[in-house]
Formats: sequence, structure tokens, C-alpha cells
Amino acid sequence: MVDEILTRTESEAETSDNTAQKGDRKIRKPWTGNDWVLVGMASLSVIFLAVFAYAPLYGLILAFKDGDGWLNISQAISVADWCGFDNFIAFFEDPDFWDIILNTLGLNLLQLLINFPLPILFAVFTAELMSDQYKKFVQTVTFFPHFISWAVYGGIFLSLFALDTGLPALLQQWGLTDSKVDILGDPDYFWWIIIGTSLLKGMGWGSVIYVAAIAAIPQELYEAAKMDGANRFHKIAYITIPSIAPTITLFFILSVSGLLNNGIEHLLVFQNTSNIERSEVLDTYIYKYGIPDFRYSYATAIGLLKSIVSLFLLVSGNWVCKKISGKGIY
Amino acid sequence: MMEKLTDLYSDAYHRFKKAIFLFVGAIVLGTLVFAYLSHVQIDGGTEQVYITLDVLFYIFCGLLPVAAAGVGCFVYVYCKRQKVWLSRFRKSKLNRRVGVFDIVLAVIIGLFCILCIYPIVYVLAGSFNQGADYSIGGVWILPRVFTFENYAVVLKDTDFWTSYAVTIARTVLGTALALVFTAIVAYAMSRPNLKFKKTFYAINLFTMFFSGGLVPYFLIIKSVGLYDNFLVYIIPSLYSVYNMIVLQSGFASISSDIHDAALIDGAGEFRIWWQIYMPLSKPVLATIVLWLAVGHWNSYFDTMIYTNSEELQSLQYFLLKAVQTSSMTEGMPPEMMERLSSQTLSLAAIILSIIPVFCFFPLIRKNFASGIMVGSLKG
Amino acid sequence: MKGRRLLTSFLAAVCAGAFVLPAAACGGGNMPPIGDDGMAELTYPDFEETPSDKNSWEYIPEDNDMTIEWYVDVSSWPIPAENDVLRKIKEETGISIHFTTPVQDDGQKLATIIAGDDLPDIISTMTSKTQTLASLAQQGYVYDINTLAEKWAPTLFENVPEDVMEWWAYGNGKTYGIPNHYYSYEDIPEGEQLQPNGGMMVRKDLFDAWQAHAEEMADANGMISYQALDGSTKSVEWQGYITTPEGFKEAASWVLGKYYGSGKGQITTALQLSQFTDQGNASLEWLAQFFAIPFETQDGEYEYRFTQEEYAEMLYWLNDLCSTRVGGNTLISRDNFTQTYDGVGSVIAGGKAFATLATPQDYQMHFATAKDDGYEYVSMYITNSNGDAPVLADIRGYGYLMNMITTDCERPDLVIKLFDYLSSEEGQRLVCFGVEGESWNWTDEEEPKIAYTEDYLALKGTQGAADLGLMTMDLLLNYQYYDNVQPRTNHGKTEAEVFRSNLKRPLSVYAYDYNVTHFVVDATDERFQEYNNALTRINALIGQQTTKILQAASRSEAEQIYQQTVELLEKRNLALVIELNSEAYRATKEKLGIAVAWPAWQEGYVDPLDRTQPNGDLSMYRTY
Repeated sequence: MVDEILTRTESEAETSDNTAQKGDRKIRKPWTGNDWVLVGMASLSVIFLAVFAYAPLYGLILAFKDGDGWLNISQAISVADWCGFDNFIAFFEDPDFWDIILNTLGLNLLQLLINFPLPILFAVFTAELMSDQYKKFVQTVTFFPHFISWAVYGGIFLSLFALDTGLPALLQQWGLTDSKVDILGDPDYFWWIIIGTSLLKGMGWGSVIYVAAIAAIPQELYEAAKMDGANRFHKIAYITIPSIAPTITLFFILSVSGLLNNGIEHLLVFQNTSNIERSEVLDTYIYKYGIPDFRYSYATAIGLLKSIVSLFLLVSGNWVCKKISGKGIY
Repeated sequence: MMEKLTDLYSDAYHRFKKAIFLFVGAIVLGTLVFAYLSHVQIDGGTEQVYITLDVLFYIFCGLLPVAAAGVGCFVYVYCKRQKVWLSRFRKSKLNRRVGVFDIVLAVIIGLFCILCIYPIVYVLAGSFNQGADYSIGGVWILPRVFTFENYAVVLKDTDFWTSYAVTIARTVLGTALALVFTAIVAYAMSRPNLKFKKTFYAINLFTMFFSGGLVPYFLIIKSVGLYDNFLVYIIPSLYSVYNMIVLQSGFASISSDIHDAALIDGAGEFRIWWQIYMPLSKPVLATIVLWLAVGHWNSYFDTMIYTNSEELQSLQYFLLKAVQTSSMTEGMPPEMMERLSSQTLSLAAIILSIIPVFCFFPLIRKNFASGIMVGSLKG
Repeated sequence: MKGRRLLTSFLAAVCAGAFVLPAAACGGGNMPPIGDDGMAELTYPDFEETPSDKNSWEYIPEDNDMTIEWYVDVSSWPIPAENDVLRKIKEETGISIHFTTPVQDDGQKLATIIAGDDLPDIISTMTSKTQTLASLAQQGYVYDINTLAEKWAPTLFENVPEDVMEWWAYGNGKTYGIPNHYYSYEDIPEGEQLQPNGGMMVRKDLFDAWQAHAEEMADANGMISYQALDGSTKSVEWQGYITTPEGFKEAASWVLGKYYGSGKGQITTALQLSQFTDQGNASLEWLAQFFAIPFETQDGEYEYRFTQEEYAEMLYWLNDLCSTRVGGNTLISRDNFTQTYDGVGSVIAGGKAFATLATPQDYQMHFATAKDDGYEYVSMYITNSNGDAPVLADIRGYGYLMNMITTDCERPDLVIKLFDYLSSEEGQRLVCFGVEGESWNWTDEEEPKIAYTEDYLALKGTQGAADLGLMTMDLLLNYQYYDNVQPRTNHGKTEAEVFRSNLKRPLSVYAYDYNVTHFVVDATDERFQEYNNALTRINALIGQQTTKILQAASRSEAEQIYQQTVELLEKRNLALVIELNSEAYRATKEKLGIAVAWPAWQEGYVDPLDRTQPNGDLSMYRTY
């Protein structure tokens, strides 16, 4: 009896790993009770998503209809005329199209390159702190800023970087700069402001998952390494990081797929007429020109465009990760 | 008594230490607070108030020597204790030396912590500052014109407590239910032997990208009967693909040997999930709980769109409303909006909404450390 | 395989079911058919019609007890708590009101209300949202006031001024809502000059210091000679030197040089403008009015602001102020371009600006704070280089919020009576001054006036006053009526209130009727959608480019950017915008019965320019 169960579970595991082989006929095994249980569990998600995620999808057809100006969206969806790709073309023809795309991709790529690794490093080095109490203190305190809304947190920086009364004036007084540096107005600074402020605000919160992952590493591994003569950096490189590698990979893929999403609140705080050529991204564009004028078709079309590109990014990200580490999300 | 205190293994020393710290800390804190209060301008402060504050300040000043004495005692006991400790342990090799790197690291992280604490200080200062004065700018650390007015305005409304109750209810209920629901799915998705695994994943992942928009979603909510119903806070957030992915990765990292061993013992998948995988995944679960709870705590959008009655307002929604519909003084027409105080009101609102979070987080932290897993495979 | 097929069919059923749901949800009512006039054909419920012999609300049955839902689409509108005004309304009409407002102003709440078929009884939204108003009417969501009043509240036509109703009527002659905060020609007293909408303020102590200096600069006749922008030499009275563009620049430079700093009482900018948003900058419009730039051509046709030559010259003058440095600091601070509302406010509240062109009523609390700290701001004017008198827009207009009765309302016959009551003089007095006998009484004179009661004056400024509810229910407020009947003594107003209402009064002598420029483009026109899209992008572009023009390093660079902007505007369909604007402009002039709208070209225009009174006519300060 025991042997049977063992063999069955083993071969089931093998079968699902070999799905890539198309030519083979899959061995049809009768489903066990446990298989049913598992499928049932997974189906819970399907039921939920069917109602709350798939059903609303019918709203997407608005992107292909001439629904701008209709107040009643459900009417617009059912009754308005079809107009094919007109909405998409209208967006491509917008004079600012390339700037917007450049800003969205550029800003987000930079954020990925900088804001992704730093919470990891932060978690790793926090774990290195000697005093346990200090460690606890740090972990609790560093995610305070997450709870302050961008309107207020950004407001602090708006005051801080004000030309006449803030940092630029100070720097000029101390002779470090010739004239007051227009941090808030110069388009070239915008991306750095966004990255810097989002780091300060989000690093603590973003490192929570890595802290949890690191805490799960068994202490014995470290002690064993120490016996073998490893110093602190060896330990980090050969134990800590590889142990949390799956977590890192996972979040990397998730971040990549969210590449086109920007925090609107964050951007709107720092966006102004002086730096607009570097600060207009897809989300702010939709927010300003889609919704207030009831241009739902237009807004939906751009949103759909965003979704397709994000999906593409997720698939490529997953593929890259599989090539590198053999593991992806699926 | 000295022996008891210097005994390295007794409790007395730690209690003594705590007592001294609390006592000295309270006195020092009190002195600073009243020093500040008696010299700052208080909005609406009368002579009496200032006199009272002055008196309190002097009282605390008088207590300072006592505090100093307490510190002195403690230092004396500590030194004695160190001698005992050193004489026993000096030669042990198990202690780790404090290196340069450690100090540098502590300092850098310390600086970062200050940067993180500062915004809270800023918000606190602003929330206790009078609105009109705040608009001049320049309130960085301490209020310039002290007042409780901002908190009073927000707390005056009886709806405040209702919304607090609503939010606590939805946070507790919503988080617990969502955790269980998502964990069940995540467990199934993490099993390599799940039938139709690819299909399930495809169904899940696809929804992460494509959304029909706010209005179609709203219509679904309506047709399912959740409009203006407390359950609208719970049911639509029962499941999130993102959380499921994180959880399933956590479950997948648990070696399947345990799973197989349990199967042999005759357990069904459900029992394995509940009794083995869940307890082993405390860190991941704790993180998800944190995300879920904070999400519930901070939400206002669902109140705004999916509800209509006052009894269902969430805390954040209430606070936002309080900020916007703030005092309209002396019959000025509303179009000459007095947005003056809304700055300080919103700061008070922020403080009111984050206090519980800070109390809650340490509970979560306790679950982060784990190492139980290693033991379960042996024997 | 049985199990698999079962599973597949199960999943398919679930997904199919998911798509059925929206179909069910979609059945939210059909739209009413569109009539000949391009607007929805409405059906009205069948209630008994009301005769016109007495006030319509007196026909409301005694036992009437209903609650209506009133949605105000402005997040900052303060919802009144239970107060005496609302209680009195309930007493008179039997109607209790439940107000709701959104938490954000992004239009999402309104969209879900409409799409979810959950309309309240009344919707109020800003009159600037012309698209929303027109769509609500066109797509059959709101009743027209005309029919409702004819049937169930004939006295409404006497209570709401005719010109207000006509202003908001669409092509079919019907009006679909009643606004608030309007100034009707019927109510404005003969010959009264209303105060201006925009204004220029200057810090009194620094202003006085400069004037003392200017007096010394004057020659024997009390005149100062200076070189004008066009190169010629002009002379002006020393008091008015600061009101010329050239003189202002010199004054600003002098003041900035002497008082620049970050300490108490020092300034950081000589001229503070409003916030630069992606819709432009309000201060530029006020300055254009001070510079008397006409809004129509000599033939009476519409002129587009940005492309006018005089407007470009004004921009170059501002650019000069932005690039002129005194002691390393520019006359207009660079900060201005990135400041938010709060940032501008903190400059004003701290007295850190010498002069400001920010809209005074938007910052009235900040001006009050500055005054409390000892930095009082007073009004002043400025002219263009030719010496034309300023032609400012006065505060009159046809409304801030538009209140509409929706077709979902079960008893529009009763709600229209509520509107009638609130619009009547009795109702207006209730809303403005509270319950008669409680917070105000008629005085014992031949022509009785309104006087506040002692009880009210005692409660003023405390929490108790809020219970009386004055000015909380302002959704149908007739502002001019309020101004006409309010008590003309100081009693009832604090010093701060009087200060705030007097900010711009001296400039009233330069304020004129600008109603023509508030024309409403007919949103039922088929080109409207395209027009609106183009307008939004054009305004955004102007907002951006204006910043660049002002920040340009030299005049020639500014000119270049300006030319570029004009070209870009034309590419964004400026022609269509001008076309529709012109049509609306012509139609509005007809409605108002005016041939020549630009005040300076009208018959009987008297040039009020008085250089010896740079602060405007100070006798116009009110003591109440």
C-alpha cells in the first residue's frame, strides 16, 4: 500500500515536469481523491476571478467604440458605434506621443534598476546589525514613511527644494553652487527626484519581504560556514543571497510586469509646467485627458495598449529568468 | 542586595535597569516637554495656562537631581557587574568583535532611520500647529503656535468612531478571510502535481494585466448585490493574484519530502495544508497579512464608489472628508474656499490613522523569525 | 476522460456565467429618444398642476414628509450639519435633504452614479463643466426647469431672474438647471460699480517707502520723466510713477535691492504671480486686463487672447522682469514657476512679496494672516505703456454651481417648489441670514432693513453660530441680492471680515461688465466633442509654453519661443476653437443686446485714470 502511494506520487511529479514533450502521449492516470481536492482548491480562484476580473472585461470593447462624451458607460458599451482602431490612432498621432512613451519607459526602467536592488541590499545589511534591539528598531522605523500620503511627503520635498527658502538657497550661500539650482523646475532633474523620493519612502516597506525571507534562513548554515572560515562577506554572497534568490527572482518578474505603471499621486506632486516634457507619462496623460472630459473610449484604448505591453514584458521577463536560473513564475 | 544585583543570572538586575530607565526617562522627557510648552506660543492660551505650564516645568526641573542620582546608582551597579562579567568571560572566543564595518553600517543605517522618522516628526509638528500660522511655512520640527484645534475638529464628529469600528472590523475580518482563501489557492498552485496547472496559471496571470475599468467593475458589484453592503469590503478583496503568487512561491520552497511523508501517514491535502504548510510559512504569511491589513486600513476608494450610507464609511474616507469640508468661518461663501487649515487638518488626520498601525506592526514582526522547519524532517 | 470533461465543462460554465452577469447589469434603462431639437424628449409624471395665485410652496400638503438625495459634485463643498436653516426648510416644505459629495474631484463618482443607475434627486456641479451639463441634458438625465416650473411652480419665474434663465438656455430655449452665486442685471443697483474679479496688491509699508523715494525724484511740477518702452520720453505724476510699466520695474528693482532676504519682514520676490498650472496662469489674464488688452476687434468680433500682439508684448515685459537681476535675484522669483497653491500662499502669508497679481479672494486668508503679522497689503493698479486706463472684469457672472433635478426624482413637482422657495426673497433671506426672529429682524424704519439680533452677535465666531446655519445652504444663493440687503453697518462683521471684503474695492472704479467673455459654447453642436478635445490640449500647451517664454534668457529667445508656440497651436486645431468661440461670442452679444462689448469703446465711457491715486479710489472702502 505504502509503496503504491509512493510510486504514484513520484510518477505524477515526473509527468507534470515533462509537459514539454509534445510527441508523447501522456499517461492517463485515474485521478486520486487528493487530485480532486487540489483542483477544487485551485478552482476557487477561477470562480472568484470569473466574477470579479473576467466579467468586467467586457468594458474593454469601449476602446474600439466611439464612446467619448457618453455619460452612461454601460450604455456607451452596448449602444455606441464601432470605430475600429480610431482611438489608438488618435493617440499615436498626438504630438507628445514619443515624449510620453520615452518618459514612461525611461523613468520606469531607471526605477527598476535602482529601486529594485536597494531594498534587497538594505534587508541584507540590516540583518548584519549586531544589536538585536537596534535591528528591531530599524525594521520598525524604516517603514514609517510608507504611511504618509504622497501629497504630504512630496510637500516636504517641495518646501525643501524651494528656490528661495530651501536647499538651493543654502547651497548658494555656502558657495557650493553659483546660482540657485532649480531642482524642481529643471526637466533633467525630474527623474532623479522621483527615484530619490520613492526610495526614501519605499525602501523600508519594500524590504519587508526580504527581511522575512532572510529570517527564514536556518542559523546552522551560518555557523557551519563560520567553522569553515568564511568571513562576513562570504556568508552574504554564498548563503544569504542564494537563499533568497527565489524571492528575488519572483519579485523581479512581478516588477517587470508592472513596468508601465506609475504612481500617479507621486508624479502629480512633482509635475509642473517647467518640467512637463520629462514628467508626462501614460498614467498622468490618461488622468488629465481621459476622465475629466468623459473621454472613456480614449482612456480605455490607451489603458488597453498599456496592458498589452505589460503582458509582453511579463512573458519576456519570465523567459529571461528561466534561462538564467531555471525558475520562473510558471 | 548588591549581590543580587550583580548576580549575572538573576532577574533583579533587569528589573532594576528597567525601573531606572523609565524613571529617568520620564523625568527628562517631562522637563523637555514642559520647557518647550511653557515657552511656545499657544493658540488661545490664557494667562492661567501659561502659569500652570511654568509651574510644571519648575517641578520637573526640581526632579532632575533625583534623576541624576538614579543614573549614578545605576552606573555604579553596572560597573560592578562588568567586573564580575569580565572576570568570568574575558577569555571566551565566542564573542564577536565589533569591527569597523559594523560601526560604519550602524551609522549609515542610523542616518537612514533619521530620514525615515523625520517625516513623522514633520507631520506631528504640523498637526499641532495652528493652521493660519502654518501657511507661512517654516514649521520643520516643533510647532510654532501650539494648538489642539486640528485634532478637535476631526474628532468632534461622532461618525469618527463609527468609521473606526468599520475599519477595524473590515481589517480583521477581511485580512483573515483573504489570507485563508488566498492560501488555499496558493497551496494548490504550488503543488507540482496539480492537474491543469498551466491553465490555472494562465487564467490567473491574464487578469493581472487586463482590466475593464472602474465602471464595469462597479456594475458587477451592483449586480452581485454588494452595493452599499458591508460585505463589499470583504468579498471583492478575498483573492489577489499577486498575493497568491508570492504565497505559492513560499509554499513551493518547502521541501516536498514533508508533504510525501504526511501523505504516507494518511493525511489529505487539506490537512497537510493547514497543519504543515501554514505553520511553516510564518514569515511569508506575516508579510501577506501585513500587506492585506494595511491595504484595508488605508482604503477609501471603495467607500467612495461602492457605498452610500454613513454607517459604512471607512476611516480614511472619513478623515479625507473631514479635511475637505473643514471649518467655514464667519459665513464666508464656500467658493472663497478656506483651504488654509486643511493643511494642518490633513496632518492631524494622518496621525490619527497611523497610530494603530504602529501598535500592530510589532505583533507581525514576531512572526518573521523562523527556523522550525529544519527540525521536522529528522526522525 | 470523464473527470476532465466534467472539469472543463464546469469551468466553461463558470466563465460563461461570468459574461452573462454584465449583460444583466447592462440592462440599466434605455435612453430617451432624441427629439427634433437635438435634446432628449422627456416624459413628465402626472401630478396635479399648481396654480400661480400664491407661492407655489404653499401648495405643498401639510403632511408632506420626504427626504431627497442631493449630490454636490465638488469635494470641498462643506456639507451642512443639522442646523436651523435646514429645519426651517423642512418646516416650510416638509422636505429633508441628505447631501453627498465625492472625496476627490476626478469625476469618477459621478460616472459611477450615472452608469449604476443610482441617480440622486438633484445633482449640482460646477458651471465650468460645460460638457457634463450638456451631456446630462442631451442624454435625458435631467428635467428642464421651464416645464417643471410651468406645471408645478409658476411663481419660480418671478423669483429667478429672467436673464439668468436665458443665459443658461440651450438652442431649444430650455434651461436645465438653476445656478447659484449669480449676479443678475435685475438686481444690480443702477450705476453701481461692482468690485473687480482680479486685482493687484502691494505691501503697504514697502509701497510707502518707495513713494517717499519717488517724491524726492520728482521735479518742480511734481512730475517724473522717464523713458518709455517704445523709446519716447514721457512724464507722469510722481504718485503714479509706479503704475506705469517702466516705473513699476524701477520700483520693484529698488525695493528688491533694499529689502531682499529671508529674515522677518524681508521679501524674496518683487512680483508674485499665481500658480502655474497646466491650464495657464490666472495672473496673466488679470495683467492683460490691467493693460487694457481688448477682447474683441474693432468690428466687434471675438479675439483670441494668446495670439494678440499686445498680449505677446505683455509676455515680453514679464520676461524682462524674470530676467532682470538685482543683487543676483530676479524680480519675479524662479520659484514661482514650481510653486503650488500652498507655496504661493506661504509667500503671501509671510509678507514675502512686494507686489502680487495672484487672485486676491483665493488667498484672502493668507492676506489676513500677513496683516495680523504686521504686513498689510493694499490694492494698486498698473497700466500699459500707452497710458490707457485699466479695464478690469468685475465679479459678476452667471453662476458657480448648477443645480439640476434628475429624471430619477420621484416627486419633481415638490422639488421644483423647493427650488422656488429657496430662490424667493423669503428663502434667500433664510439662507443668508438665518431664521427670522432668531438671528435677524426687520428694523423699525420706514424702509425696514435687516439687522442681526443680539443673540446672534454674541454667538458669532463660536460653535453655537454654526447651529444657526447662516450661509451653509448656499446652493441657490443669489449673490447680488445678498449684497443688496445685507446690514450696512459694521455690526455682524469682524474686522478681519471687513478687511477681507475690502481687498479690491478701491479698484472698482476700473471694473466693468465682462459677461460677454463668459460665453458658453453650445455643447449640443456636433463639433463640440472635437472642439473640447482641441481646447484641452491647447490650454495645456499654452500653460507649458508660457512658462518657457517667461523663463527665456533674452527677448529674442522669448520671441522665438512665442512664434513656435503659435505654430504649434495652429497645428492643434486652434482654428476650430476660434470658430466656435466666435459663434458663441456673437450669439451671446445678441442675447445681452450689446453691439459694442469692449467697455473702453462704448458710448459714454469716461476715462477714470487718476495717476495721483495709485491705490485706486480709496473712498470706495466699505465699512461693513
